[in-house]
Amino acid sequence: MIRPLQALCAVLVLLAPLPALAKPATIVTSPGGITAWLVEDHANPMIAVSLLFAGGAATDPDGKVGLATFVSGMLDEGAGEMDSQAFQTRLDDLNVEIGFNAARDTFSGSMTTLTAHRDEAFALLNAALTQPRFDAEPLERMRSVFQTRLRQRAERPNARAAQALFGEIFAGHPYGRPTDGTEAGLKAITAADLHDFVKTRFTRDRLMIGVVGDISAAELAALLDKTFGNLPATSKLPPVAKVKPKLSGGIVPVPMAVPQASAVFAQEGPARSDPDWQAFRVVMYVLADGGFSSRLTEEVREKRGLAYGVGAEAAPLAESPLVIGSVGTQTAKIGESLKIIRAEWAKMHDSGPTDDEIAKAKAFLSGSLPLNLNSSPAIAQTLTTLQHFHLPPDELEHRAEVLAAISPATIRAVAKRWLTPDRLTFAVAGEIKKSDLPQTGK
Amino acid sequence: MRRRMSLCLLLSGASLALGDPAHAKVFDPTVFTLENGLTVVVVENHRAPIVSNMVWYKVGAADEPPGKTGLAHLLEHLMFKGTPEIPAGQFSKLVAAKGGVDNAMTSRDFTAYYQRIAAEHLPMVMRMEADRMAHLKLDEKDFQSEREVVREERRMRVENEPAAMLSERLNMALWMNHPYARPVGGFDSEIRGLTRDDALAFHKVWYAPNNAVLFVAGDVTPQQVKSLAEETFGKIPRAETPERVRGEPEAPMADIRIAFSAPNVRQARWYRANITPSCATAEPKVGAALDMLAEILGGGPTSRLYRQLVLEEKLAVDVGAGYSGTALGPGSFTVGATPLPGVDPATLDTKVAAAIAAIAKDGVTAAELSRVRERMLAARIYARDDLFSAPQALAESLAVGCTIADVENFNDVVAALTTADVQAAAQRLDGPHAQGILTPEAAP
Repeated sequence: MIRPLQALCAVLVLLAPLPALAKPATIVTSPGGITAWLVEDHANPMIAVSLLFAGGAATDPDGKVGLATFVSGMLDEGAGEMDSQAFQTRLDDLNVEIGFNAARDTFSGSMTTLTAHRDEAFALLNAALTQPRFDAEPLERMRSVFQTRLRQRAERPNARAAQALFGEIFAGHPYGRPTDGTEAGLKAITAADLHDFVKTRFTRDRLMIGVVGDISAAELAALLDKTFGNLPATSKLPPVAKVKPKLSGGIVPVPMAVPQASAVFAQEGPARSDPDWQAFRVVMYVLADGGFSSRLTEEVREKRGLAYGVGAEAAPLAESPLVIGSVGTQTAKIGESLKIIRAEWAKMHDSGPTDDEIAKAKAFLSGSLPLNLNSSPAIAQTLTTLQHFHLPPDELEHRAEVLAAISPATIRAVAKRWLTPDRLTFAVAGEIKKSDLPQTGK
Repeated sequence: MRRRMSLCLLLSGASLALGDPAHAKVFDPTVFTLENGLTVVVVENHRAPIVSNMVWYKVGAADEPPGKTGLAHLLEHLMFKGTPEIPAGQFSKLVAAKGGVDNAMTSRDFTAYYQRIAAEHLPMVMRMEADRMAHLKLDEKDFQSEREVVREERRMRVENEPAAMLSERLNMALWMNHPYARPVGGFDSEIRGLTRDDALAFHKVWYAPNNAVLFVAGDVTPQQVKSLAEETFGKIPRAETPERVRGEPEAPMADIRIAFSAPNVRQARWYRANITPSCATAEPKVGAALDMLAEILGGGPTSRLYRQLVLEEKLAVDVGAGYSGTALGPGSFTVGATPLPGVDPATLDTKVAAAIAAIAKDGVTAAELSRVRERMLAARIYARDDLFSAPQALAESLAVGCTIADVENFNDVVAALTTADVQAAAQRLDGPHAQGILTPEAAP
């Protein structure tokens, strides 16, 4: 029996004498040439599948902003011979869960089934991907759902600030548009647009697959061809342009009547493939991504009670890797929070983390890896994420070694190279007055 | 587009079903009690070399003294502010330095603390939890800043969120004189008045081994947990804790309607709620039938209300229903919907009341019953796949005065449900209820 969590948690073997089974995912290739990463596990009679297509909302055509998101809601609303209710009823009767999600760079899917209904579950997934009907009734129903979601997001200061920031720093680039769409975009989308998206985005050359659970490599290989073999091999889709974010170092105000102001901020960060990536994660852990172990939480929350949540993390967007952070503070004191964040940013740039902070950050980043692999769907998703970033199946196994090998001097040099306190740019949603806010960074 | 099967369903006790109904246990826990009264629950899972360590205290917002709402939640935050052994702010850092994560949560009936960490560090986190159960120490300055943090948390979660404000006010209207009327995080006006002495006194009264449940899940044996628990928590003496009284809520004499609008509301919402029995106040069959009724009424795109209100009559964008029955006092049954633009939210109230009345009068079909039963079979297998969240239902059940059997035997109970049981569940809701309506402000 192969136990998936232990297989992926093998990193702990390097840290401590634990009974972990060191076995990363197997790469399964079907007779038709489709590959999937598999962690076989027969402990529970269920299978979790994760899919990822390269290309997401950033590829939405101008005037149809929200198309990828719209498709994500429509794939289980009728396919092949089955209309919406027939498809949904079949999923219910088999207890199969299928879901899709659009992000800026990717379009992902997930499917969970009991082993007993395996073949039909994969057939339903195939139907959703290759024969969606996009009937008029569900089309209008989902249009309402996504329009409602836009209105609900507009109620939240954090979402408003994030959108204002992206609109500012990526003005004129697809990253500047909301992933969930715009009022005009959602209104303009037709069934033909949805069909075109499916034809051009769901192609085998863009597809990554992760599978975890009660299935053998041979069984999976056969199902891969049946499920994904009739997707087009490739398509001509113009690439999304690389972009430099316009980081003024200033503050974009978003007027809104709420008692707590919400700030979102960003600067450039390394790509996931950048040699500095792991060292930069250590820097970010100490500065802003380490919960109670981070300097921002210490200074803003613990010492001064200025916020419940404050932090920032590396966000490796394909065409413009960023660092994105947020903080929420009562209107009268938001300026104080922003001032502290800027000061801590500058301090980290100038001096970097201490040796002790680095040791603790490495211990957490290595030791916490297994905690995220706590269910089959979570592991399946990790498998497609690794593929998306062109990492090997045993990447997690070697993470601790990689981190251990980075010297404190290198980490401090990376802090200096990447952190740009002068260009840290904010958007603040709330009832804010100019006088409440600090001067710009420049 | 589908909603995933709600976690509430799993946590409210419904996790499973058939196979061999008589023996189909879900988590198969080991349960024992230390001499000082600490209840210990262990769920073994050796798929990964990790553990979840949790301490559940049998005290929550409904146990706060009058005028001191927010105290249970503020104390939850202050439990990270130090003991003679572990200085303020160090608790989470010590856990993180070993690769672990930690957090805590407060509800009406319980306060729970947890760490998730490599199994080899279980002794350390158990020592740390036992230490702060017995030796909380608070510096006035730390108290002051944490009270501000808690106020920011309320601003973020409630005051900045119109839907959360509505839900808070609807709850007050529904529960009236009952302690469940109090918001778990407290009112800002009362949080401001809480003192360090309030927090220390609340800790002294309620935080005792005989008033707690230790829950450990993961790569560990019951024997290991037993010896570790004896070495750590076992050293803390038993203490007299007050009896927890919830009392009877005043039943609504007529339908209650709370309507609310605010400048930043862009989308209308509608909710309704009824007070119902809970696992503590009724036999298991009653709660199981309410769970099943919630699924039949509002469990996803094939449910009765979705088909009627969303597909056929085109009044709402979505609709859902839920039963919350893991409670020391009564439970509650909620239905919520998002009206389409131009639809009067009150229409939804009339329609949902009629749909409930129809089941109260005519019951549900055998096909509806068996479909939901099958869904619960799958939920059981999916729940066993989840190392951390799902098995917590065991500890939650004990913390609110219900039993392990309420969770473990739920499959047997569901298997035995009849259409008449579901009809009886609907009859419980077919009377006065509270509804809440959120609307955008009219243009000036």
